[in-house]
Amino acid sequence: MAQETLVTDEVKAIIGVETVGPPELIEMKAIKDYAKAINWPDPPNPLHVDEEYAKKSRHGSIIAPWSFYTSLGRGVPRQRVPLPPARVGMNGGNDYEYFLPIRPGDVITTTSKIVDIVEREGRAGKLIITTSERKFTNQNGEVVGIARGTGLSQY
Amino acid sequence: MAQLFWDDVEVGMEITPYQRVVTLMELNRFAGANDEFVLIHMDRDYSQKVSRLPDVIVMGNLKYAYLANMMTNWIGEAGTLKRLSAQYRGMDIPGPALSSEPTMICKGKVTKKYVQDGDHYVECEVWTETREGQVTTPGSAIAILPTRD
Repeated sequence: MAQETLVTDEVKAIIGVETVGPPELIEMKAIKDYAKAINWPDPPNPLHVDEEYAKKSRHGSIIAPWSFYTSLGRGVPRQRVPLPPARVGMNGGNDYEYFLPIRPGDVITTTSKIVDIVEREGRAGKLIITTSERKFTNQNGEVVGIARGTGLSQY
Repeated sequence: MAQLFWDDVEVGMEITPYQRVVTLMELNRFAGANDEFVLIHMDRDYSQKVSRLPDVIVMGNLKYAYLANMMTNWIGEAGTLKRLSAQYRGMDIPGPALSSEPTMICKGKVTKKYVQDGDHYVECEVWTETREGQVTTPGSAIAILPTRD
């Protein structure tokens, strides 16, 4: 007998639809606060917080930590996936490819799309696995990185 | 820290481990910096009563950042991280306030080294483990390293 699926045609219709967030100005303070948070309570890497030090590095200026890219694109309009609310939503995994560093003053635009939605029967109930892709482009039109992520929704 | 060179890397070589004490303090600080205020990472009552989790759990993105720190510390400033992936397979629970016991331990080893389009690459298997040695976040990394010549 066919199991009732949460991944209806209406849900699947959202796959591949791109949404674009508003351009994000990357402020020096955001980079510094982020760099502090990821190495707390030890001092952050000077490449991310010390302008004099960074100027003499091969980058010529402060650059954001590579993992800073996880903070981007919060303003991307949320795609309304017609699924019932999950008991718990979790981050299943991240995969980032890095092409160029992000510097203070850069303006980054995030383009996002869902690339797949599948349903599994987990031990604790239904599990929806959503795979998405985000592309980060700077003010010069250069793609600075691409992120692929997996979201887990447990029912 | 001394710069790592591609010439000196061998397959199977261990990446210098990186470890952190993680308490609610670290989660709060990261939540602010990463603009990631999600109840299962912030509110113990919600985690336990609504999401039926054992406690608040460490954000995947913070575990990712720790793995990235391990990689960038190891490859040095002349090295370039090209790709890093992590899968959040297990939950990590933050330690008690003012704890000094490491909560998250990042480790890794070199799986491949090669030259492509004139660049010198290393590929690595990376992961986080708990103090008890349970791997909660397996992943992989690709970096370009400088050479001695």
